[in-house]
Amino acid sequence: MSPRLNLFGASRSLVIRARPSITSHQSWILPVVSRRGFADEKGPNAPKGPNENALGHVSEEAADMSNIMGETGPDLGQGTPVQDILKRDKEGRGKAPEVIKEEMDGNKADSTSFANLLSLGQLESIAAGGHGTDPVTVDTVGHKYALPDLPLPKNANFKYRYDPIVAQVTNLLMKDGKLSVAQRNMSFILNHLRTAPPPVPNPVRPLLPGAPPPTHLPLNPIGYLTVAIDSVAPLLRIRSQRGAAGGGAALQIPVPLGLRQRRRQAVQWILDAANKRKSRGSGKNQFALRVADEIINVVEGKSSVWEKRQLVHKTGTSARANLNYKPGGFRR
Amino acid sequence: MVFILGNNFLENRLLKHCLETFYGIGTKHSTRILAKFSVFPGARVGQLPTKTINDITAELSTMTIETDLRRKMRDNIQRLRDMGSYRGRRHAMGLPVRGQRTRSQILTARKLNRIDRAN
Amino acid sequence: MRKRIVLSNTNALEVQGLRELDAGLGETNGEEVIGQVVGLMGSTVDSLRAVEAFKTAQGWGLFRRPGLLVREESVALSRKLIMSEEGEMLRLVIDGERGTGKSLILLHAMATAFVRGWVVLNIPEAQEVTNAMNDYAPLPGTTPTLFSQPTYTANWLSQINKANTTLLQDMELSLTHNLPIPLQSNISLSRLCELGARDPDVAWPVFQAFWAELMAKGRPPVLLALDGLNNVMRESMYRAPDTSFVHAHDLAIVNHFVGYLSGERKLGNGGAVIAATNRSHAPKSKSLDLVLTQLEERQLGEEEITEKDPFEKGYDGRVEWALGVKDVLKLKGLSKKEARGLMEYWAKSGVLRKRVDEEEVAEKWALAGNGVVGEIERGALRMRI
Repeated sequence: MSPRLNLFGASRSLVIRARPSITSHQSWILPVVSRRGFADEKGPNAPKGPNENALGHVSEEAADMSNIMGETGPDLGQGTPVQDILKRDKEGRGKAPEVIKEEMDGNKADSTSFANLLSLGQLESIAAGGHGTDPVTVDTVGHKYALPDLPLPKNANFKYRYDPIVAQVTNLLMKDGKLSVAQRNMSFILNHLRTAPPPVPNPVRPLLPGAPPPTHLPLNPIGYLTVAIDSVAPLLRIRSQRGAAGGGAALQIPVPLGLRQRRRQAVQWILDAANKRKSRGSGKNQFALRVADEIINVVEGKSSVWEKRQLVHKTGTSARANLNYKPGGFRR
Repeated sequence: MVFILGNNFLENRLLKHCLETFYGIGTKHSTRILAKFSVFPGARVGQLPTKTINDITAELSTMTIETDLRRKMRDNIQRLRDMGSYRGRRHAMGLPVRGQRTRSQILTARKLNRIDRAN
Repeated sequence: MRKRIVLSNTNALEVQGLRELDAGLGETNGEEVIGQVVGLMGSTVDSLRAVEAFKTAQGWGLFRRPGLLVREESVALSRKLIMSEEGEMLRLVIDGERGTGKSLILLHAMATAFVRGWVVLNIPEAQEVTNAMNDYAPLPGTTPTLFSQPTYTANWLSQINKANTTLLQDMELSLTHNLPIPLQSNISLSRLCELGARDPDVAWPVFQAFWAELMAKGRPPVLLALDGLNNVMRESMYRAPDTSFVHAHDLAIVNHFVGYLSGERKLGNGGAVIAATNRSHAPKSKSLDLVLTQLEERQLGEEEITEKDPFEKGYDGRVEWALGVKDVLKLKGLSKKEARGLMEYWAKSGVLRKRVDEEEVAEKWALAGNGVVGEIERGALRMRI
């Protein structure tokens, strides 16, 4: 049995090895190339690399030939399509793939040809009530459909495919993160607005100035929704600053709201009112039906949401003296 | 009210549920009885013709259910006890009969196992 | 189940110059109507409503009046129906992916039959026949035992009567029947249906008598239609006295239908038997799928026909027998022309608020899986993609 601690064993790691024990697998670089400095020009007489001495490929040869003969040869910057080579090479043509053969025979119909686009344009002008002989705007030439206007708008993304208000209300309708259910409800609401009888607005509760006449609303359900929400949306909210009024009482400070904030508040009020309504009938979509009915009530001025809005505005008006309050105290 | 085998049932109850109120009739027997008299599973007792009700009552009276079934079960336990078998003793002591452990969780056995077992 | 079918939206715009679906479609006109929406006449709408051809999720409530897109397939079907008035009866299964318009092609067939003066018998939901929600009773003297469904049959008779009243009122009994109820000899077929609808216990014998009358000489052609074929191509939820499940083909109504679909029995005065499959919420049937695939391959003239999987145990010989049809109408997506016609109709009704041009149509068409009409509707009208 050898002793556990051997000083000679430790010295073995101190041996100086003259050569690496494992042969390097790095390929050998030709000395001529490696000896060129980074800043040196690659002159005409510079030594060539290992495969720079070979003959040029087919296109290069063709280009050289046409250069000598004074013709226009293939453009080397583009590369030669296989079809061009096959045109010259009879033998190779027989062995080419079917697709290329078809294309060379000209059998394949080109779906995006100019003729096709022209006739599409003519169809368009006929559909628009004109004649087939009308001049066609050729902004689609080379493209199947017209190019988009650049720069692309910021919301040209599939995530913003719905109207902003529809997207916002859908998200507010959502419970437990179930977006799909919320979308179904949204769709039901819009279709209900579309089929319900046109609203009869109350002159005491005027809608947004510039709103379309009530008879036009059902056919534009998104507009209907927008009018209802924007009409009851509050302009401000009341922030209660504790202790600012002295004696521990809260100071009420009106704060202006942004567009999305105003709409959010309005939708929340509408949803609260809808939740307090009684369902009529039974079955699926009762929640959506109640919300839709509440929206109609808002436009007709019957909803309790209007009182909420009025209350907020009244408080805001009476508290406008507190507008100048800053956390440090009143500054004028 | 509909009268089946001495019991009254509200007319809007499902026949299947009514049958299953009898001791000794579960899903299997109720399904069999419904199938035998061609009654669909959603049938309510009020809708059925008197003839079907009578047939079902007749069918039930041929089956060992309720008191008969209870008596039969008691007789079986009594037989085990009279033989002096282990199972009979366990019944008499109100302990598990089929080799379950008794360190904990023998509430069911305590509740049910006795010589004159009720249900 | 309560079903509320709304067929009109007073807010939607009246489409000007809408053609009516008339008896001439497929006879005097055809190709030029393809891709257009045709309106349904008031009497046809009433009849269709009576046979429950309109379903809840089909979006009828968005438009001013019910309209129907004429597709290439529907014109072809109209032609076949017209041919079957004189010659051999038409036996057809309508199949296709979910949302391709199977039920609406069936509705088109029914509407055509109504305007051409046929008698239409429709089973709107085959599921309701087989899922054991109605009472049933074995029919004495049948082997194998058939089961009648008294309440369903009575309702069906009243439906048939309501849908075909004008025709049936003019037809008088011509045969003598042996029925459990006393019958006058000169009553109309409409009255006969009423008698059957009133008393579920005699509904099935009355239906048989009614059918015998329809098959007698000199009566109009008959359309037998069924939606949801998958549900009748399997065992039903009913139980036989030995507690085994009753095969759907042993239910008297289904047996009646399948007898004609298989070609075992012939319609006396011409007509058609049409069944549509259901592909969204339907039970799987190995045999149904196999037979439909084979039929389709035969129609396309393919050399290799799919064969039975030798290791599959789920095949059902009775289903294969019942589907002895020659024709299967495999529905695919709309063509772009049809899609454009439909979208233009939506735009004219004021329901689709977009300019309908080639680009818009192409976009919706492509997003809807190459023109699956249900998906186009979803994308364009229901705000969902």
